Amino acid sequence: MSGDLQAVWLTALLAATTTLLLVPIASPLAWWLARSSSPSRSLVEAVVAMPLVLPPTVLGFYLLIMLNPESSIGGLWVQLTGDSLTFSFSGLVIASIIYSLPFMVQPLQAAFRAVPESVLEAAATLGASPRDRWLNVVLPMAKRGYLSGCVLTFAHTVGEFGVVLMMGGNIPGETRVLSIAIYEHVETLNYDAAHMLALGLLCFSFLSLWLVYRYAGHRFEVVRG
Amino acid sequence: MSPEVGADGLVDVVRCSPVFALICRFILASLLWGGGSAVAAEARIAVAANFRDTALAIAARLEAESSHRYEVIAGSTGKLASQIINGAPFDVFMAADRRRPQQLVDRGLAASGSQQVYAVGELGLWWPDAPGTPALDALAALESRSVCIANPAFAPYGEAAWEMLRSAGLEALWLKGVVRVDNVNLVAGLIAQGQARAGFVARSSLIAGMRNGTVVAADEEVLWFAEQAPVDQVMVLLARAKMNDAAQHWVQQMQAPPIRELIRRDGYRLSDGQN
Repeated sequence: MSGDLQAVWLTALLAATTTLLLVPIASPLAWWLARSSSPSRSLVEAVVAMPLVLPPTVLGFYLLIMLNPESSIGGLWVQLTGDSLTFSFSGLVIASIIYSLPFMVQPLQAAFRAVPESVLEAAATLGASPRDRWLNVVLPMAKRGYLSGCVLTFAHTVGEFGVVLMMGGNIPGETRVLSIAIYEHVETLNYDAAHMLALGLLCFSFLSLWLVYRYAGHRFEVVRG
Repeated sequence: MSPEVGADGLVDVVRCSPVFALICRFILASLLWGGGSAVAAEARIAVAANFRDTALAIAARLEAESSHRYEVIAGSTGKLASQIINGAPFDVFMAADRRRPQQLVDRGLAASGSQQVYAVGELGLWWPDAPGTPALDALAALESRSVCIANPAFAPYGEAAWEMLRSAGLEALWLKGVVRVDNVNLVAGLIAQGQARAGFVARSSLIAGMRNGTVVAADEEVLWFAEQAPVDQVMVLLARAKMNDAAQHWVQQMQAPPIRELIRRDGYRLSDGQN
């Protein structure tokens, strides 16, 4: 059981780290996507949405190739830290950021788009600086977008399996996240332990979605219509 | 709106949202807590799935006798080898064949000369409701979808099973339908649950399953191939562990009498340890 607690802990740590790192990465990106009329916007939108439709094994495969110690990125990381990026927690964080990117960007993009141009213009004529407009107009209006984005990103990272299987392995305390622990329990016919973890995840997923619907209303979009 | 402003605005989000504050506090706590309690194992032992329980027993014994700490990670031999090639941080690799350890030595990923046969596994055909004693050629009477083997592509016991099936003169079309699963432990589980009617198991996985109560098998339900298909399980010290005392200790202890007894008890035959 202590192994399972460790897996719960590791999963929460991975999901929290991913969520926290994605907020600063996704915010400017979502703002640009919501406001820009550049012709390359749809291209960027498609790239950001890719993890929604891409099989996790494809993503995992490319990450394995890109991050392994013999590749340039993976090799550089080994030189800097002495550790391999594949089969490590750091590698999983990178993978999760890519894998969960649309779950943060899309709710934010929808929230930013809902901020009327006229309100921003009015604020500008009243002398609000761009920074002031962002802090006091956009952010309060996009609060629900942030809530949805964070909850969805967190929950999606908790549910990650295929990517971890491809490039995370099953190392306790490092890459053995909940979904992998469940898989191993089933493989070793340890159904009681599998039941407990699976039920826990089921309740968690329900609660997070309920939180989103309850407090963020219907203002979040996962796949843009 | 510049990205710098966006990043600044985040401070405000953190301040105004209780959820954010909670996550922040959580991360902070986790870093403090994690730093204090990170007692990492000194050596990570990657073992073929069929050897998992034995490796855990060996780890428990060595930990009781010394201050070394071990972590056992189980998987099919082929998968573990490919993980090692892609940078997995393992120190000792206990394969279920000779080929993969040799490949790792050839690639410079394992210490050359460190190979040793630590156990000789036994393949068997487990067929609980067989008419009479199980026999290879009688398998044709079953639908091939109800016959299960470990995937020959990356599991040595699957490879051995596949050779037995092919040599039994079964039809190519029938052979195509045989179910392939991730590792040899799963085969015993699927038969025990009635999801497969027959399959090629390792003696060690049957013993492990019977010990923890998930498998009930009578001796006459299994046809053993001790002579036709002995599975030499070879271990190597991985290159990154050349200076790792815990890993060296593990490798040295494999030929010690009490450890050999543990291995023998779990359904393996022993060799003299020479490659």
